[in-house]
This record gives sequence, structure tokens and C-alpha cells, in this order.
Amino acid sequence: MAIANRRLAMLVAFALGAWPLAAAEPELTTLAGNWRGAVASTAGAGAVPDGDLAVSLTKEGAGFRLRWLGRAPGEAGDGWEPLEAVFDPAEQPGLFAVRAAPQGLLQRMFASPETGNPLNGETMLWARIEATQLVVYSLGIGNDGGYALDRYAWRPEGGELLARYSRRSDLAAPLVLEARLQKASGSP
Amino acid sequence: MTPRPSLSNCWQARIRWLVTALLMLGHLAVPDAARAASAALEPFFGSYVGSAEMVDLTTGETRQRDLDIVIQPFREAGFQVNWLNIMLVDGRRDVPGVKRWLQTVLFQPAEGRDLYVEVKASNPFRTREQAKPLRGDPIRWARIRDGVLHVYAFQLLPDGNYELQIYDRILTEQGLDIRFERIVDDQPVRRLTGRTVRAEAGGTDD
Repeated sequence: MAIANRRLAMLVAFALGAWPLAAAEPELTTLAGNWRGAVASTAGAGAVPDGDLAVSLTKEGAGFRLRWLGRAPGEAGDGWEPLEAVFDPAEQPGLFAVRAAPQGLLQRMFASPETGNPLNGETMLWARIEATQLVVYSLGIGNDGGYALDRYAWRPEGGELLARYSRRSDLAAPLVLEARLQKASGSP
Repeated sequence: MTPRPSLSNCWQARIRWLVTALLMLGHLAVPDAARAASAALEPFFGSYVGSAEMVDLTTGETRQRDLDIVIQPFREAGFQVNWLNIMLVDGRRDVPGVKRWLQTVLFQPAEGRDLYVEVKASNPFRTREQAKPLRGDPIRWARIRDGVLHVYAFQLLPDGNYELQIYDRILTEQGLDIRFERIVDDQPVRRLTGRTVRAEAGGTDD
């Protein structure tokens, strides 16, 4: 009886542990690859990238590696630059935390999920999958208490990716930028 | 013959000297930045009463609120905000359905930065800098710019969405104007605008 209970507990634990990946798998498969496209519309105030928006997603372990052209993290950054981070499934279904171990210079921009805290000047980064949409967020708090909260959303539609980026801060009206990205070959 | 100082007098003198030295050290330990922060805070200290209108941006529903705010010093260079909200029913507070809630938050200057971070009332020495926001711990911070006390509260929700609350308390000649916004996953869901006046301390009834 005790063994049967243990087996049941192991099955439940396995099912719970595998659920986030299983649920996220179709979306990650659809989003995988290199995508690029020009900005179609903007609203609010802030810098707009000169060229195309580019994003690249590759599955990595139970999570994924993301490279994208994004806003310079943190409250002081206003320009656009290539960003890169590896995300692993978090405890909550559909939620991904940035991998703690540094993977490179770009990865070190972001705080550890265990200890990271924007109140210590670190940029907090996380991602979630909701329905078919991947959303990545970053929050940075500057030395003067000003903040920058970025939200990047990608949603597949008709073989394209609909991208919607926004930055919220207390300096200006939120910048919102939309684009349609097409599958591209090569690296972003 | 000069009386010899007793042992207890000797210890009393030493204790007085030690206390004086500690007080002086304590004063020196307060950095200039903290004193400057404290000076920026002083105009906000006081008691305020007023009213506000809260709009639910998802439904368009509006509700009236009575506000009662106290901002006071906390420890050497921090501050404490107590605010009492009364949500009225059809503009009245003497009918069933009225809601009342009181909140308190304590802030201390963040070391080496021009902002304030929340400290817990149960342990004012443990700041929210030690919180783990990626694990869902809420964080609060504040700053003062151009006569506005901005207070921010951020929390990562279990489904990966976030909630950000922004309270602005704007100094006016009469008191404080209030602006509040609650944002969930980039969408403003509630907005409050209000006006308060400085309240004078009352005496006994009549």
C-alpha cells in the first residue's frame, strides 16, 4: 500500500513537473526560428529602432534561448540593442525565469531569479506563455527611483509573428510599437 | 580632605560619556544624502483629509472615496504613510455597503541611491531590498521629484502577469492632490484622482 502511494505520488510529481513544458511545447515550436520585419506603427514617446525588428527563438533544454532587438534594459537606457537570455520553466505553469547561471555578457545584464531585485539596481527579466502568445518582461529601477517596465509580446498569426512592444515609465506616455515579422533564414 | 569619588559615581560618569559619544556617532553616521532626503520630505509631513473619485477602467464604474492621509517621519531619514480610505455608497458614508480600510507603509532611504525602499513594520532593519520579486514578493519604493511624492508597488502575479500601482501625492497650497493608477499587464485598470487639504490638529470636542 505504501509503495502504491509512493508510486502515485511520483506520478503526480512527474505530471506536475512536466506540465509547464508540455503546455508550452506547441507554442515554442511555432515560435522557434528567426523572424524579422519593419515597425508598422508607433504610439507614445521614445526612440524607435532604425532598422527591422529581429527575434530568434531556439529551444534549449526545457526552456528556450531568445535573442531579440529590444530596449536597452533599465531606466537609463533609451536606445535599442541586441538582447539575449535563456529562460527555464518556473514552478508556475506557463511562467519562465531567466537562467541564473551567466551564459555570456548579454545574459549578465539580467538579475538572478533567486536573488535578483530591481531595488538593488538589477534588471528583472521573466517570460510567460499565454494561449499562443509569448510575452517577455523586464523591470529596471534607476538610482533616482525612476523605472522602466518593458513588455515584448509575439503572437503567431497566418504564418507571421505579430510583435507588440511597449515601455512604461513615469517620464512619458508609454511607447507602443507594433510590427509583423516574417520567418527569415540565418541569425538575427 | 577631598572626598574620593565613589565607584558608582565613576561608573555614572563613564556611562554619561559613552552615551554622549554614541549620540555624536549616531549623528555623524547619518550621511549628507540622508539629510538631504529628509529635507525633501519635510514639506509632505502632515495630516490631510479630502475626497477622490475612483474609476474602474474595465467597467467605467465610478465610486467616491473619502481620504485621510498622515505622512510622518520614520526613524532618522525615512517616512511613514498611513492612509484611510472610505468607499462611499452613492456619495454617502452612513448607509450599508460602505467600505473602510487602513494601510500603513514605512520607507527608508536606499543606501547610495536617491530613492526610498519599504521596510517591514515587524522588522524595520530588514528592507525590501532583500525581497525576491521573481518569487512573487511585492516590492515598494518611493521617490520625490518636483514636489511630488511618488510611491510605486510592484508584484509579479502567479500567472506571470504583473501588477503595478503608482501613487502620486502632489504638494499644493492647501494640501495634497492625489493620483493613483493600477496597471495589470500593461493595461490601466483603475484610476483615482483626488484632492486633500491639510488638517489642523483638533482639540477636545467642541
